[in-house]
Amino acid sequence: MAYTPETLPEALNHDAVLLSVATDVLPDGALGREWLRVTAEQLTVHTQTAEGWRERLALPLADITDPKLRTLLGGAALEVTHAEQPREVARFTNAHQAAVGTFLSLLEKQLKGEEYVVPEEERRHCPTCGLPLESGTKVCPACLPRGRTLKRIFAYLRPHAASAITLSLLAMFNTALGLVPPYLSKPLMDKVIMPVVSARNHGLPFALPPALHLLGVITLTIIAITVLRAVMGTAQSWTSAWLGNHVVHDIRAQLYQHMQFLSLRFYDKRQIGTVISRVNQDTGQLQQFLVWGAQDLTVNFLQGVGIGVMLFVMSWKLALLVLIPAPLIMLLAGRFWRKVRFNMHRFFRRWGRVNAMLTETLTGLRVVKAFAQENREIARFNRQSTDLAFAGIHVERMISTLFSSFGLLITLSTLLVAYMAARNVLFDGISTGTYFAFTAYVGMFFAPLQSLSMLFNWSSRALTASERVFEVLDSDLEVPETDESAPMPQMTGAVTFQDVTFGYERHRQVLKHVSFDVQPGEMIGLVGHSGAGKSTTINLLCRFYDVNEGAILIDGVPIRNIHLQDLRGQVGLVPQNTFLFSGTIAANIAYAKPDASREEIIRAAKVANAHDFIRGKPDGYETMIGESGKGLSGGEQQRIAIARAVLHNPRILILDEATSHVDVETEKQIQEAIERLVKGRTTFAIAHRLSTLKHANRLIVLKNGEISEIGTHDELMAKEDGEFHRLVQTYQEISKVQAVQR
Amino acid sequence: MADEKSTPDDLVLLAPETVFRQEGDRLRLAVGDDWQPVTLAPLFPLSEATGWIAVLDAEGKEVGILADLHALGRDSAAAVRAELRRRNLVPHVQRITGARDRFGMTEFTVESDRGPLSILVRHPQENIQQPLPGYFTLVDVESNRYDIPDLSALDPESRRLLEERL
Ligand SMILES: Nc1ncnc2c1ncn2[C@@H]1O[C@H](COP(=O)(O)OP(=O)(O)OP(=O)(O)O)[C@@H](O)[C@H]1O
Ligand SMILES: [Mg+2]
Repeated sequence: MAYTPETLPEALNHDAVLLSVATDVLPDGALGREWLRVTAEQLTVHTQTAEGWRERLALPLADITDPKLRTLLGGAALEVTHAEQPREVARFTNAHQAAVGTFLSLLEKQLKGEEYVVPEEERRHCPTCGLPLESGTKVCPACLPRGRTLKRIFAYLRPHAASAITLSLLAMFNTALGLVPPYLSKPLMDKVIMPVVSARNHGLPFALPPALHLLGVITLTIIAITVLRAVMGTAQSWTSAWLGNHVVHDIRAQLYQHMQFLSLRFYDKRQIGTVISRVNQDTGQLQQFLVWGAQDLTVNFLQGVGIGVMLFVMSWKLALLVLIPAPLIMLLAGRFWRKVRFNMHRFFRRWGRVNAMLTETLTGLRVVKAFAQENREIARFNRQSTDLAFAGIHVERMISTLFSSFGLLITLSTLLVAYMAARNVLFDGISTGTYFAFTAYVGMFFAPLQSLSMLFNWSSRALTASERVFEVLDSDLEVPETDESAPMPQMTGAVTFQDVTFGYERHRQVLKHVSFDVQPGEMIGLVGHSGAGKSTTINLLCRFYDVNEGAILIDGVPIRNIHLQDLRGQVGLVPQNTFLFSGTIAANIAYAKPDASREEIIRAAKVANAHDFIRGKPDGYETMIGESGKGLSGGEQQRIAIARAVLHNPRILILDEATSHVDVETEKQIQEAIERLVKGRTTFAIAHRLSTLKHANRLIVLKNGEISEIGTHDELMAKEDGEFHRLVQTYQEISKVQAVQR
Repeated sequence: MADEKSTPDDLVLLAPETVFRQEGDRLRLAVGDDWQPVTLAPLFPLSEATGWIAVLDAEGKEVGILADLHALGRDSAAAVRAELRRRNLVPHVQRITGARDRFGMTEFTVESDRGPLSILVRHPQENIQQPLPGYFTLVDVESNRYDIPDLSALDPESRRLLEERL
């Protein structure tokens, strides 16, 4: 597929071309390139062939009517009615849906002889690399300026610079001290043991006291150093624990904050469980590394450098021998690194998936039990868990193979060094003390390399984890505030939809060219069949999603340019699916206004007709409700949600099926209360029980994402062939049936 | 579309004698002496390529359901098959020749029934899905879809390249 923005080829372009669009599927279903052109007289289709562009179809505009899209699997076809027969003009994949959609609406205007302006082509490709942009974003993730992962982790140390520096100083000093004891084995051998032993062997006189004295000093020094190191080691761990946990907390807090503001589109595509695992597992892994791994890494690194220097000072020839396996280890580690990371990512993904499954089934446990599907869920879980186990085995095996090879290399070279050093004692006359000190250092030098296996494991986990965390942090807040955003602390509540077109997925439009005007204080009923786009209209008004085309204005200002806080602060939503938090009823009602007084809470509950049932609970307003409203009936939950919106005291009140779960009697009471409430505020009410909307000033009737009628209840009822009339008739028939059954 | 509600008892299974034919770019159904233009809506498109296909008239109203294509007369079956092919623009992947990962995106180079393709998938974990066991769908950055109807039927290298990224 070509990912470059499209412009009409030179060969097809001339002044008379009014509209054009590219498609990518030929009539026989093969992939290929075609261009549709519209001039004042005709619609033509050109196919790209080896010889150039060939005209495949030419239809006089005068003869065609009713252009429309027909959905196909993975794409669509553009059809017109020509000579009273449906006729396919071109077909294309999803990638071209948006462009052809625009083309179609302009073509309709052209056919009707209406005025129109050809919109500028929306920038959908990254200007730097030409890759397509994720819908709604302006920057391409590939071209986003960002540092290397490690650098980003360390950036989190900046606020804690003091303890980070303390920690490094402690580590350095501690490491330096650690280098002293092996060095002392040199005087121990050369000054204490060897002279006495050789004098005794040769029957020569020797003085014991100075040797004993030196032995005492050496021993005491070693004891002192050991104690000091223990103390400093503890201090180091304390600092490190503090630092690691703080850094991880900072990251976790930032992550959570970011997630709160992430677009709904981000969550539409993901399972909640996998998102949770990013906050929990990934930051947990990072924590392990930062608290333990990072400290080890620095200590080992410093120690390696220190010992390396000592080795060279004592004997550069032998020191070079020590370094022989180093390049090999580097090579091996380098080659494995990418693979380990790749597999580590897979391991984490599967972990996320296990998590997602847990969240999903535990949330839906009632349904599982109701249909007695426990065993199937268990089997499903086991499959996921096995997958995870295998991914784990794969990673661990990889790492352990790598480290057995390291180990082998290291042991072999230690042996080699020991052998060469011993030869040196025999032939080149280095002292026994140097020999002992040297071999002790070699052991110490390789020890960190051995523990590198742990580190390698840790750090690859930590890097993978942080990459996953940063990936979320780099996800765009999809409804971004623009530079033109302005506060709107006091809106009057005039709402305008201007030719709004929107689709959750770019290639499937859910709302098409929706336009209407609402006066401040008006009550609007939104009606239409299920799936008509009522909730979607509301979602756009709350700016949960941004429109694809057109604009939504509040008090004449595009909502894109209103601070989100101000927008949402003055819009009160009772959503179709009630959601309550675990906590008391009072806390739930006061969710948007935590400092609400008791009186306010009770008033709100009264409006929502919730007061009576709350009063009936032994704990009253302090009754604990479980997660997502457990412990309350569906209608009770709805009434609390209404009370919550009421207390919020919004300028624009939105009720999406707010009374669908309550009985008719309660609904009537709520309605009366709402009627009082809606005075002076703009209200959008959605209801399938059409009687609920009796009091609406006007009704907007949606059908398949388009407005089919707008008017007062009576106006719409008068139109006998209208959609509303039909809906009411159906509704009345059903009510009659219900009445009979009662 | 929700305009026409159907109740269980108007599930109409089309008789094997039903006759279809292809005329121009349109599938037509014999209704008396008339040839009515119809469209098809496969109901189980992933698992059942040759049956359970709803037949809709020009207004989108369901004429009936074709339970098994093989039961139809030869010419009718051929016409229906041709229409099914025409309404399906989703390439089927036959071999994966390469996969390159960069910035949370994976670029697969594949051979498909519509020739060689390169498929750029953003966040493979989300955009590669498995609606049925062994049936994989890939959605690329342009929201185009590509199917692998049976992963186990692909060669081991192709399988590895995909499975590693799940
Ligand atoms: N998050 C989503 N992602 C993709 N498509 C969606 C999403 N939410 C809704 N849709 C689709 O958009 C269309 C309109 O949905 P919407 O929720 O606006 O309907 P509605 O009019 O509120 O219906 P109801 O009366 O049943 O609540 C439907 O076809 C639905 O399948
Ligand atoms: Mg809805």
